[in-house]
Amino acid sequence: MKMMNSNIMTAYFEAVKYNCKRRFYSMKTIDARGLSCPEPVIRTKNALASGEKAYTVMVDNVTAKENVSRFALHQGYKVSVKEEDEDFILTLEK
Amino acid sequence: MKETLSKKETPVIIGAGVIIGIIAVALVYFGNPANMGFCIACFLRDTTGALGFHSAAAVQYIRPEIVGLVLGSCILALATKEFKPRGGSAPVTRFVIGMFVMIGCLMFLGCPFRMILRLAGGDFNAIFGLIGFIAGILAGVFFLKKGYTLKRSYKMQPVEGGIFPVVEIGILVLLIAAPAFIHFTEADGGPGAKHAAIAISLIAGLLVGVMAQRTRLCMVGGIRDVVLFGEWKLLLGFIAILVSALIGNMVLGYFNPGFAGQPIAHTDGLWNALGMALAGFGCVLLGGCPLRQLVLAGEGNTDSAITVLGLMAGAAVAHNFGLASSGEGPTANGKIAVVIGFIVLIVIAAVNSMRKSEA
Repeated sequence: MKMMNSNIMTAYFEAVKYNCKRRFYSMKTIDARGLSCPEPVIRTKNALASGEKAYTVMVDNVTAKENVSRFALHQGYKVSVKEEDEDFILTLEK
Repeated sequence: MKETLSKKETPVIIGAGVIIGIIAVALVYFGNPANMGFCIACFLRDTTGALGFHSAAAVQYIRPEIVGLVLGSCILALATKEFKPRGGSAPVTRFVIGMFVMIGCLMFLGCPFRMILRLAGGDFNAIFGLIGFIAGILAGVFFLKKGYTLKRSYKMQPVEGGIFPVVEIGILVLLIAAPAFIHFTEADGGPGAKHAAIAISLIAGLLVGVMAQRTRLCMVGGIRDVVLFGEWKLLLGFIAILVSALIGNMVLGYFNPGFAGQPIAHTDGLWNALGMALAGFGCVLLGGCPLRQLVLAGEGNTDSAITVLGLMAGAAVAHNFGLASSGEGPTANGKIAVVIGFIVLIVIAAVNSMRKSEA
């Protein structure tokens, strides 16, 4: 009985966490794929001005990935990168 | 995968800059014109002449450095899986901008890379070039902040990305085979006759192409990134080239400070500045300096390949219409062309800034 309760409780709190993230964890997305240097960083810079907690930036080449990462890290964001087909999806989080 | 600021980036680009500076001075030692270990503008112009697209006999020679730069970049990009054929971002616009960048460079008698090498040789006329260059970059940055964009490029077929490097191999073959229809400046006929041996030039180009691809070296980006983002990485790279070439020149006795009597240069400060201002402005609109365009073309970027063709077309036009400067100074036609260039680039920049940027 106790085990079943703790499973239910865990499931309940996971659901609450998920819904909170969906509502308050705004993930503004910047699609900078195919853009010439230095547009990916400019678009990122402009978007970061809105001061949200997290952003997704999509680029399609290593140089842009490096430039956006470097810029975001200098602005104090944590950067994680996921490769999807030929593109790089960067997640910037304060 | 978490990203962190790499502590290696800055030392790597400074190291590359030091080596590139040494290679540039070495090329002069081995026969290249003075203060011209590398000059993307001059070398594309010389190649254009050798192929018969202009008839200025003093500057006709297929420069293997250009071939090396493209192939060096291509080989490294293939090895590191960075070779990505892409294109379709306003190619005709880029071709035209490229033409005017070349016209600006030939007004000054050097591309941004040669501007650095001229400074390293003590050619103080290049200071005016640098001032103009910075002004041109600031003009470009103005439009970038207004949302200037030539829109995105798209993935292209592998063959489409590979054609340009293959064409460069073909041009190298023409140099080595030297059929009768390829022009070579006569000995003592001008800068076109001054060149290092083919193998030396080619290897130098390959090495610099590899390093420039790896470090994303770009003369325009260097200044632009400091102004836009406070980012010094690229600029440190070309300061390293300047210091390294300066020391190399002093060691070999090539350092000759002054304004008058500088090799393949003129003393008209205003037009040195305006020429490089046009080049700097155009390069910001293109997303990179001529060296960077060659490297990107080697990576499969067909928009950059088109830009290089535009630079070559600009060289042909410059010599056929009498726009290029000489040691005596700028020509009247050249001045008109530079003014027209500013007007054209401002229109291109304004028209392409009028869309609301999609954030």
